[in-house]
Amino acid sequence: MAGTWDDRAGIENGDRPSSGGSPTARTTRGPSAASMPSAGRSVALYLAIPVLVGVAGATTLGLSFTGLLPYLPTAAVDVSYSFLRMLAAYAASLGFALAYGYYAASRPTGERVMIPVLDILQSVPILGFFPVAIVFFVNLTGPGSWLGPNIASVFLIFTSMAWNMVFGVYESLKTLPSELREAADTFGVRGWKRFQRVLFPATVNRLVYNSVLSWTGGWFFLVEAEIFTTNSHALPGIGSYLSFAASAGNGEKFVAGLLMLVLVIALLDFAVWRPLGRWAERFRYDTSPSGEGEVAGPNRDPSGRFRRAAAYVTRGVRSGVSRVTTPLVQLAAITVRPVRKPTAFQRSAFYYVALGAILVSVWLIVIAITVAVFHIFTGPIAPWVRGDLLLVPFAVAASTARVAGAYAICLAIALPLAVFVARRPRASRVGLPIIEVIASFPATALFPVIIFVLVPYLSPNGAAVLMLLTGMLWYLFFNLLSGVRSLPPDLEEAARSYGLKGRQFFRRVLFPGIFPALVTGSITAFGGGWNTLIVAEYLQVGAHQSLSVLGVGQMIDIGYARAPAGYPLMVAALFALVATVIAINELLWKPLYRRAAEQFRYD
Amino acid sequence: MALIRVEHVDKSFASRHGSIAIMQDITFEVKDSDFLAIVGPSGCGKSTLLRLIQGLDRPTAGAISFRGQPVAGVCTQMAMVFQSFALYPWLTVSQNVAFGLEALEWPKEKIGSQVERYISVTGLDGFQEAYPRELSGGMRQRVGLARALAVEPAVLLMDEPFSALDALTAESLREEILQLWRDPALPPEAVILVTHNIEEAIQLADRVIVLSRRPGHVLETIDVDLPRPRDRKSGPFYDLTDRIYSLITQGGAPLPPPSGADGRSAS
Amino acid sequence: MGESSDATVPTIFPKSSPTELLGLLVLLNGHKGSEDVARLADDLDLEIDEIFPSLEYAELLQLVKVTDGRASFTELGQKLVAGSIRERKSILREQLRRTTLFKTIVRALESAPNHQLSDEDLAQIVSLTTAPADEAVQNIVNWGRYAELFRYDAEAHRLILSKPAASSRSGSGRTPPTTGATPPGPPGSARKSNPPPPETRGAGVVPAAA
Repeated sequence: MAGTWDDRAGIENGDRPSSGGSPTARTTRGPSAASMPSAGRSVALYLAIPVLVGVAGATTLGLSFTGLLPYLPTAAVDVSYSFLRMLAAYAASLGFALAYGYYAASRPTGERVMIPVLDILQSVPILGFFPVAIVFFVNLTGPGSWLGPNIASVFLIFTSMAWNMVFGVYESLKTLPSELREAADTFGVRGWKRFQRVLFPATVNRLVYNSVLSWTGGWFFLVEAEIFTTNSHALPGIGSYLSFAASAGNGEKFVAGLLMLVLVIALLDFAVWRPLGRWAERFRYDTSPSGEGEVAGPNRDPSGRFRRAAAYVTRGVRSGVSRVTTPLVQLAAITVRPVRKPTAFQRSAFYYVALGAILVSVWLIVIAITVAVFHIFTGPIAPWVRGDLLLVPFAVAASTARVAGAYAICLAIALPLAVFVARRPRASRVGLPIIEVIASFPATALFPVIIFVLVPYLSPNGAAVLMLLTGMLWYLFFNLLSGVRSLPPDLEEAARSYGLKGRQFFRRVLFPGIFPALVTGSITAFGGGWNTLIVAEYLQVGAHQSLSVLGVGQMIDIGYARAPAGYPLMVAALFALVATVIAINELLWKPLYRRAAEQFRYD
Repeated sequence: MALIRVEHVDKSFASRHGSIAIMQDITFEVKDSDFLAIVGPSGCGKSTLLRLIQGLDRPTAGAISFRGQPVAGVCTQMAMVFQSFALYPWLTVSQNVAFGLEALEWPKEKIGSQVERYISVTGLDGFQEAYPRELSGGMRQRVGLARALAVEPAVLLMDEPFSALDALTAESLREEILQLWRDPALPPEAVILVTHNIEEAIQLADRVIVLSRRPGHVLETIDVDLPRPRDRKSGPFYDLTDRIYSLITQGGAPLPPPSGADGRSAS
Repeated sequence: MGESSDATVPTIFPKSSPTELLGLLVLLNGHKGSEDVARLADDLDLEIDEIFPSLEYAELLQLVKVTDGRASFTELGQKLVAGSIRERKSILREQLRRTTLFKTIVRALESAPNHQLSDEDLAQIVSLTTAPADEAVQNIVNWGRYAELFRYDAEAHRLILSKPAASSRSGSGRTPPTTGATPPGPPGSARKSNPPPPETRGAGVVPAAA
């Protein structure tokens, strides 16, 4: 994200050449020095895939390839099912993003309502709604129908794909230089032609980049959705395939499934996203009249792609952040209002105590309302549910602690790694693409293995935190990386010339410099964590192996598993989670975010 | 008959503190083969005026007519050249030049030859397939000009067309505009140039309308009767510059910043 | 002095775009074709080094002579500013074509497979080994495109040889022989262009480069 700010600053500074400086020099920038080893980089990238597969193979006791062969066809069929689901969800997301984004960007009323709604939607842990969605769609299509669970899973994937694409469309339309609209006006270009010639092209670049990220997120949720349903509804796909393979203890089958999944993801990347990304470069626009800093031709920094996509998404988060006026914020207006700087109150420990108190009362309110509503509409609540409902506050607290713990571990890994990678441009040229491929692989596919192989060694809590880690780490890492990278070199140099080292350097230069990136990275990482909770706290693989730790994810899952009596539990836990997420976003992250935007800017 | 008639035009914008008057009681005419310049300090509403004339925006009061008809909605018989060029980065030079023609739904073949013609006229040959980002500022503004001329507008509107360019490039384009203007085979019957550069206005225009500071009103309309090409160092040229400069500086209350209004600025 | 400027391959051409160069000529024309360089710069409120690149380029193309800090038109330069936009362009094209730099590039293009060269090839041909090669390459590409000596695919970063006389794509409208003619449309405009420049092709004016 900080990278994006930086890019923008660069363009704006260069804007408006008053005199001097020949325009030729700035018109077209040729191949950058970085372009030379691009071939080497993409080779490295595709080396990464066998490496990944190799690692996966080694973990499953070094199987021979011939052992995999019989499973490959069935794995391919199941991956195809999954792929079709992805495709359906993506098509829906694309249509939705264009319509919603266009409408929100063009109507002021739309903007006031639609963007805050979107902000809530994207910060809510989608996966928590999955059980609800299954119940809803299965009831809708009649029990036993294959359609219900399929629609539910496509819906889930859709919710993981759509929001960031909507933000992409919305922001590209909002940042479209007004003269480009005006020029269309002056020539009387209206209606469909205007959309086709001006507005749609304006969104293409962002759409393509955000799509890459949407697919990455989509695979994650797809696998999770399929694993989740294996015990209740048949949802053939790669997730359930892996889940069955793991529960049967069939290592060859499992590796074959992984291999197929990696193959499809790599193929899509190679055959679709990379060419598309190159083509989409044409649709970039900047706001400077002289077009300074424009690079002619395609983006020759393939490893920049992922980072930019990440930057786009975080920018989406940011834009939501800066705009939102949710009821909760208004509720807490006294504490949050002074946007300029956090008040002394906000910085005091008391603020966090108050935050905790608000949370607890919100949980209690949510539980009370749920109980009341269910009591009225479905009659008395089962005794065991009543008992469990009382546990919900503790469950949410435990989950929050788990996510926070996983976050701390992520930070301990991601920060040194980001600094390490950023400091070694040469090594990162090879290393970064590998990291990118690993990051785009849905970690959920490995959850069954975690359950099987690691649970006996780790405590259940440890396994849960480990799974959370996989859903959080990358957001933090890529944000921090772009943060470290965009540190102005002269700041570092100055620090060195003053002999600033170690802790001093961290406190005075590095931390303030990457603070904005850290905050957005944290917001997105927490978002990933909340979503991963649902499977990380309660996962049953086959009949024997299962994981269950007290937490809000567990409550939701148990409520779902013991339908219909468990529904109040499911709903209460879900809304307690949603309330928690929103409260933490609004009361912790957003003030921090504003502070980052205000205080730690260097430009 | 007047090509364009602007009568008692007011424009104000609503703001949090009530409405802010941008311009007041502006009246002037544009005749056939008029090269008109509008100068004034920044914020006097010159660019807004240009947009009112084309019908991109409506005046708060007063009337604007084109060939006797009130301007209602965007008038596609006028074409605009923008300060920031406003080229579509996803369209090639040819496609950008064709942009207006497609909106007018010219037949395909006619569009092709028209585009070629105006690309050639503006000296863009060789860049047909280029995307705007591959071009220097001067070449970009040529595309902007070609795009505007290609629709054969009756009136060419130019909104600070040279102020985003470096001095030499601007010098070259100003001269080329005059060349194209002299050519009776080429479209516009009238040009309205908005600029904050007094010398530029005197160098190019037949008439200069001097606007005051906000709310802008017409301080004076000055005829420029110097033969072209006009020598910036000649006495009469200098006198005119001086006159307009003092009009602007005395016309509004506080002295405008020199960079905005003094004709020496090379922008 | 012009004699020598063409004799060797200038490896770095001055950083000036065609439009800037034309701007300089127009400016000089405003000073009746001869002016002190410092005063010329001053007229546009520029520093003197801001017009140097264009001035050097104009010298290189033998449109302007600089002696004792004073710039004045050559005969060809005079003729160029008197011409129309298209005539000017064709004179620039002919002059560029004479420079050893562009001769070398065109020859390299002719002998290259597919008549194509990459940016890197170009940098090598003109022996640009230093860091600002990118800018220099883009400068050369910009001029070559302007003069229609080659086309350029910005996505592949490749130069592609234009068909002889650049006439294949552009039809009959703009190649040197017609440049003197009035543009499409009724003749007899206020233009004072005339002497149609077939001689620029034969070019007694310019000492042919080696």
